[in-house]
Amino acid sequence: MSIATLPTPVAPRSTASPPPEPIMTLRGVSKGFGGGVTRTEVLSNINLNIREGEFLAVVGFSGSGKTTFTQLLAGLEKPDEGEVNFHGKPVTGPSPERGLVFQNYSLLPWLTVRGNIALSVDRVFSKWSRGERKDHVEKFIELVGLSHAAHRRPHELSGGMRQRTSLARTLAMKPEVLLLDEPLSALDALTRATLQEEILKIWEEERQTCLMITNDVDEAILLADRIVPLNPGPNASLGPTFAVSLDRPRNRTALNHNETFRGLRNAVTNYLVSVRQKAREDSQSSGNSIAVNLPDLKPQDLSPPTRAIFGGGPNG
Amino acid sequence: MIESCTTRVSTNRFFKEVIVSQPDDGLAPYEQDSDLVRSVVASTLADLGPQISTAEESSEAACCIPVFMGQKLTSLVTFLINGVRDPGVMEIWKPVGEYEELSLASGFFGELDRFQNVSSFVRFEKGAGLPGQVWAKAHPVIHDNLAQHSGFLRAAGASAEALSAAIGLPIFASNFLATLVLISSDASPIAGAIEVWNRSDNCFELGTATYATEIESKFQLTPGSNCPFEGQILNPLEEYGRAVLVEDLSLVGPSRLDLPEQFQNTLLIPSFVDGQLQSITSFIL
Amino acid sequence: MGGYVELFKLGKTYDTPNGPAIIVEDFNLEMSKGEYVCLLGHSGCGKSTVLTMVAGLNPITDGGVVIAEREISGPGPDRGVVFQSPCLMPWMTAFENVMLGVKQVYPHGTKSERHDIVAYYLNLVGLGDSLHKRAGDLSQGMQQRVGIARAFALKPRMLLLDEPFGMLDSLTRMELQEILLDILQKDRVTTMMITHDVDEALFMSDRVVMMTNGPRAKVGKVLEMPFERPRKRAEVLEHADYYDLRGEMIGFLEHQDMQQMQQDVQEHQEQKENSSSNPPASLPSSEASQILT
Repeated sequence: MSIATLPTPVAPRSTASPPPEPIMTLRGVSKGFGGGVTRTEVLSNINLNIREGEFLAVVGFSGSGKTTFTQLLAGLEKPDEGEVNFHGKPVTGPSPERGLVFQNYSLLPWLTVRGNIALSVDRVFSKWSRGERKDHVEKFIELVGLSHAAHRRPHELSGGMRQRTSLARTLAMKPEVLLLDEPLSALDALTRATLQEEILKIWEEERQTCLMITNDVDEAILLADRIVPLNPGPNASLGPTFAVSLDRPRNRTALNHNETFRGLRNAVTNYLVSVRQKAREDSQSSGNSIAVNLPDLKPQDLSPPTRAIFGGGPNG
Repeated sequence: MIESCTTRVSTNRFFKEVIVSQPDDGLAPYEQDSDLVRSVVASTLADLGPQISTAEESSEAACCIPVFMGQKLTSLVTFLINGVRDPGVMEIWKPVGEYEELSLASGFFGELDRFQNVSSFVRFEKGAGLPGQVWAKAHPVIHDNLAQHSGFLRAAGASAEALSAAIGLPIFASNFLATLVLISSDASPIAGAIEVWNRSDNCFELGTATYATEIESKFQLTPGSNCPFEGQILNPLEEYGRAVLVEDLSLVGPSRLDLPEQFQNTLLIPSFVDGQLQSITSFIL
Repeated sequence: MGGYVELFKLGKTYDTPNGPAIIVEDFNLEMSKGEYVCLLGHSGCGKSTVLTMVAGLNPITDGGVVIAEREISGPGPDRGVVFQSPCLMPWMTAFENVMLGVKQVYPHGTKSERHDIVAYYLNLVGLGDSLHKRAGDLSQGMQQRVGIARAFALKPRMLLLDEPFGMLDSLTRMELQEILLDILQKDRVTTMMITHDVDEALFMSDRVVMMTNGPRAKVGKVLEMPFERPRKRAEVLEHADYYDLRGEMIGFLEHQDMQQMQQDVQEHQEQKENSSSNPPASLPSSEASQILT
């Protein structure tokens, strides 16, 4: 054999199977309110695939149309343009298949925790036996850690416990997609952190498709598989998708030392800070505020007569 | 004629050199090059996929892409960067996971650390962003005026204001392999002009184009213009499916003869989809 | 020797039916002119007590506070205070709300000078387009901007901020932090801020004072922030020390939480024993205690 000649390289044919169908899709969705000159576009050209079994976080600014966004998914609003599909079929109205939990828990004040949850379970699973429904209710009360408070009414509950009840009520209806519209925004920082851990734990057990709207980057990173920023409105559109490839189970404190966490946190935060800055500059350049110079004026000294201080510090 | 085409040109801008070689020649045309370049070309030949590699402690980087006609590898195009201080980016986006989604496989970002950080976490679904659009359309896509471009999602928050224009090239064998993205700044453009010529019946028509500020408007063609080059230069592209590097401006159209001195070479990359020549992308270098 | 602001053996004791309750004890802190200090800790650790004493809104039981070589005795316009809710007159416009204080401290200025002072600071906080909107019609974030403009317009010697962004969502909070830093860059007012937000403390301050849990709260650990000014959030986040400092503060707060939780549980149990079957009239402040019961 003389010189070895290379065979002409040939690329292999791909045998990849088609990708799984998303459970929900938004295609070119726009939504506005009002008409004529006073019309404002809230959302503009939204495209999104929600994947079966994923936890997707949409991070957005207040006033960017976050609520309109979840209402479209829940079927409480219809898009002006484009389509919202669930299992490939247009969403025409609300359905227990898409359970919604929002910031202001809408519990019935005259029913107990157990009663509020049972009401939904009885309605959705009316074909089940009484015993089955009762067991189901108790299972979800326990899941959110409210067994000790199941007999209490909403006014006897803290904000966090009310939100747990809302969550249990929605989870108990076994929706295919769980829509969480800023469920923790009204809570104090400590309660919020505790409930984040609970949601994380429940989701990691159930692996139910979940879309959460939030304004908190850390919350999004702790919980989600993917993060999509919602750019500031009006005409809010979605930003690029960030993949959260952090191992589960996740721990808030341990994450602080994780390089991937740090990089991702900086990337998402910088993105949000910059798009907001840009939106602000755009609106300022079109605004009509006039530059004012600060007069060189000292305030009058209105403090009471001074106590003389001698030497070092004052003596109490 | 193809034999008359050079295989290597130097530019004094973003790319230090651009090299076109034939797969049969293996590494022979790269004897004078650095280990970095040779290893990038070798792995492109071995994996039949595009590669970018950046030297650890120097400003040297190399990007090698395969050009296919159907399943057949016809040529390699290698871009070399050395000592660039102006911002510019090269990226390769490859499909990952079970969903039709692209993630950054390799890239050169120079000093744009923040842009690199963002890009390393971003995923583009088929049809989303520049890389995803290239995949969905199976066609090169140019994004001009990036600072204001709504389809260029990543630049925000990445201190990448200097980036001005981007081109995404599909890398197709019998199926989609990757998107190559080249992003340039006004300070050091990747090319004087980038033009995408679409096949239309028996001729090629300009689809989209982006021009550097040094290219006078008389050289700038409007979309829909007919291809100024034909015959002997189209032949290797169509017949053999090869990328070519042309030194003789008359070969790419008589109107191009007066181009400024620093733009005397043209790189032509054909894009085949399902074995059909679909478009030609020309870079005036 | 001696700082621009000195908190000297500051203490606060309340008399209760069960004897004196010492909330803050032997709290010492010196701040140089133009310095930004954050007091970090969860609610109930006595941070607000310290701040309201410095503001002159809360009588000092021990020690004293000196600002610019004068010991304070009561509130005054030399200290601008911003609380979580800005306490605006809801029926007045943003402009009128700021003008209220400006009239008081600039009686010697002309009408147009006073007008310009108000407009200047409202412009700075990004309300140039909303000068004549009623405060009651503004969002929480916008109201807080008015509060900040009002505080700065009086050219205080010292700025006292008690969780000023605590009621805002995290993205609005970041925006107002940047606006506040921008103004401070022009007008280096000595600032004391209370927060429980670790990232806020890192981004805003020169020094972070971590307070020990009350009762008998005092200065625990003090951390210097190594970030140069003017600060850009992206650069601060990318600083090599950022996440280590963040970790240290989170660790401190978590430790504080644990202590607080144990205390709450103890109190809750005592309450239960005392008031047998009746549900507690007021629930313990933290959800944490709920979980344990």
